[in-house]
Amino acid sequence: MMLKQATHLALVRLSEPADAAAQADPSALLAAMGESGVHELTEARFGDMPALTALAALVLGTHARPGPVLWVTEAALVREHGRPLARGLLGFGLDPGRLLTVAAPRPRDALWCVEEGLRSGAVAAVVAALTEASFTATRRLALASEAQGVPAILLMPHRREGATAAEARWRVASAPSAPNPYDPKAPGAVRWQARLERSRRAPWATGRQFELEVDDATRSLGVVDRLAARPARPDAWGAGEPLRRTG
Amino acid sequence: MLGGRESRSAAPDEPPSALPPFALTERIATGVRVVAADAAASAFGVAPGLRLADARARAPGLLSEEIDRAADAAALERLARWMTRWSPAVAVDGRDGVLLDVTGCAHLWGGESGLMADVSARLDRLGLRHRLGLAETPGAAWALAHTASGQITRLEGDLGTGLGDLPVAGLRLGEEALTLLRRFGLTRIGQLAGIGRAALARRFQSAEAADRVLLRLDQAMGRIAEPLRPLEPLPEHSARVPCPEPLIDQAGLEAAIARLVADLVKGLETAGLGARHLRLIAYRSDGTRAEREARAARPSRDPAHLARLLTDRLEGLDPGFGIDLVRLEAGALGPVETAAPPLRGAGAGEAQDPAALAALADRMASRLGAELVTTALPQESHLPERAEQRRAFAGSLPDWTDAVEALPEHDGLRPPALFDRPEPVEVVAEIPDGPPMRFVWRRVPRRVVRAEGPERIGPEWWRAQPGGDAGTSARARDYYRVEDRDGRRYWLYREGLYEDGQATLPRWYLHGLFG
Repeated sequence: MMLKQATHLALVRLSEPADAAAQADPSALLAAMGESGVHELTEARFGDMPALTALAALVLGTHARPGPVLWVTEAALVREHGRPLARGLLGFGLDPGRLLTVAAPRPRDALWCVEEGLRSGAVAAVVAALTEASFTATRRLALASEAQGVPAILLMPHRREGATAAEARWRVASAPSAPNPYDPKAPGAVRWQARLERSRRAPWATGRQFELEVDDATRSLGVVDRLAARPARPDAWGAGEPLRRTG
Repeated sequence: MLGGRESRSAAPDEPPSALPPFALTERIATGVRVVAADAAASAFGVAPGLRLADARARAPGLLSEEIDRAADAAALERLARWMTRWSPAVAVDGRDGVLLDVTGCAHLWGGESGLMADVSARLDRLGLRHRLGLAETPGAAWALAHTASGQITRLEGDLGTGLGDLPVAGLRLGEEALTLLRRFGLTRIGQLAGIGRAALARRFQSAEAADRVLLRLDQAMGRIAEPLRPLEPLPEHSARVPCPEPLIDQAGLEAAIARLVADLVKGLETAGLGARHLRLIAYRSDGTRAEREARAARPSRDPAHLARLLTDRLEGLDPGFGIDLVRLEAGALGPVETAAPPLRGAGAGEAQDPAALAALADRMASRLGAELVTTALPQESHLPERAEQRRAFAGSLPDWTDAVEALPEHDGLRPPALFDRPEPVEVVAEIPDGPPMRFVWRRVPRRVVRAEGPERIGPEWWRAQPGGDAGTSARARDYYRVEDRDGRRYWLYREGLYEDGQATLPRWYLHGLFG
C-alpha cells in the first residue's frame, strides 16, 4: 500500500567522526530495530515519550517487514503522555490499518500481551510503552522475539536504567526542529537526539550520539550543517502588538 | 416434560418435634394468613390459608415470619438455573414449580426413571422437599406433580387414562372455576373429558370461563401445543462432562474443558460452523452454579484456541464444595473462514494469517476485556478526536487505503499522541488570533520559540450541545503547532474566537504532543 504521507527518516550526524572506525551508519543501526530482538527506546527526560512513539512509527514504517503491528500501551502512560493517534502515526509513515492497539491496565498485563504477541506469530512487530520491565522480563521477551523472528520495540520512561536483555537501548530526546524554509517562525522538520546507550550488535558504536531528522518534504537523505540548523530568532514575531493574558 | 414442585423444609432428617413449629405468613386484605408451614406445624393442623391467630391457637409456640416473595422467586430461579444440568430447557412455573423439557435427555441417566431418581436424590441432598411428575405435556406433568398420590410419578398409559383419575385441581385452574366444577360434581379430569365441549361451556356463566377450563384440558391432553419458555436461550451446540468425583481445583477444570471442547468441536465440524461465543457452566454439588464466558472475534472451532480462551477465564472461579458437572455451550455461530497462505509471489512466507491475529486478539480480550483491544477506523470528521473511532477488534484490521487517499492535501499535521480530554492551559497570546507566546501546562511554564497556525477547525454544530464542556460546545477551534526552547512540540488550540458573539472568552487547551 502506498501512503501519500510517506515519510523517510533522514539521519544527519552533525559532528565530524573522530576516526574511521566510528563511522557507524546510524541508519543501519536503526534498521536493526526492524529485525528480531528487543529494542529499547528510552526517554532522555520526562516528556520525551511522544518522540519515542513517533520514532517507533517511523522505524516500523521504514524497516519492519509488512504485516500487522501490535501496539501495547500501559494505561498510566496514556494518562501521562496521551494515546497513540492513528492519523498522527500515519504522518510518521505507519499505516494505521496495520495497528492492533491494546491499553493494558497493569504493567504485568502489558508484558503478558507483548509476549503473547511475539509468540503468536500473527504480527510483524510489537511496540509497547511500558513503565517498567525487569531483566528477567526483557529476557523472556528476547527469547520469544528470537523464536519467531519478530521485533519488539519497548518505549520506556526516562528513569529506565540498569540491566536489560535488549539488543540495544537508545536514549531519545526531542530537539529543536530544522529551520522551516517557507516560514522562519514555524517549526521545520522534526529532529531528535538519539544516543546509543547499549548495543549488543554494535558495541563499538555505544555512546555515540546522532541527530535524527524526519524529512517529509523531499523524501531523501539530506545533510544539514550546523549554521543552517540554528533556529530563527524566537522573538522575531509579535513585537509591537498589544499583549493580553488569556485562557 | 418434567414438572416439579419444591418446598423447603427446615431440617428433613430431624424428627418434627425437635424444632418448634414454624410458618411463613403474608399480610393480605383480610389479615395475616399462613402461606407455608413446616412439618412440625403441619402436624398441629396448621395449613396454608389459616389465619395466623388460629394457627397460633392450634400450634402453641408457633414461630412465624413474613414471607419474602422477591427472595423466594430469586431462589427459585437460581434453583431452576442449576437444574439446567438435566436439560437446557428449564422454566420457572409459578411460585413453587420448575418445568423441564427432558426430551432426548433421559438416556444420559439410563432412561426416565433413572433421570427422575437422580433429580430426586439431588434435591433431597439440598434439603428440598419435592414432588415430581413426568408426562408428555407440561399440563399433564403439572397435574401429576401436584395431585398424584405418589411423590414421584410417571404417566402410565396414554394421557387420557393416565390423567383420568386425577382431581380437576391438577388442571391449573383458578379458585372460581374449581368451585364451580365441584358444584357440578365434576371432581376428576376423566369426567370432564366425557362431557361434550358444548355442554360444558353451557354450564359456565361466561364463555371465557369455559374456554379457560377447556384450554387447560386441551393443553394437558396435548391437543393444544404449549411451548415452554426457557429461562435461557437453548444452545444449538453444547457438550457436557459429568464428574463422578467432584472437581475442586483448576487442573481438574482444565481437563474437563479439554474434553468439552473436543466434544463441542466434533459437533461444530459436522455442521461446518465455528463459534464466536462460548459459555462454560459449572454445576456445584450444593445447588449453585458458576459461569464463565469467552468471546472470539471470528468464528472458530480450533480446539486449542477455544480451550485456551476458557482456561484464561477460569481465574477466580470458586469450586465451592466441588463441581460435579460441567457444560459448555456454543453461541454466535458462523462459518469458519479458512484462508490458505500464498505459496509464492507477493506475500509468500509472511505471517499474514488473519485467523492467528484473531486468536491473539481473542486471548488478550479474554484477559483484559474486549473494549481494551481495539483498532482505529477512519471517520469523516475534521475534529481530531472524531476523525477516528476506536472499536473493539472485530475479526480483521480496518482498511485505511481509501481514507489515506481522501485526506485533503492541506490538512495540517496530526500529533502521534492525543489526550483523551484536552487539558486546559494558561496562554499568553496576541489578541485576537496570534499564536501562543508562553503557556503553562501542568504547572510548568513553557516559552514558545516557533509556532505554526492557525489551522481552523469549524464546530460540528449538528452534534454540539450548547454550553457543553470542552470538545462539545459549538465553537470553532484554532489549532497551533508550537515548539518550545527544549525542542518539545505541542498541539494547542484556542476554543472560540474573540468576536464570535459567545458570552465567554475563548479558552486554550493542549490537545496533543508531537514529540
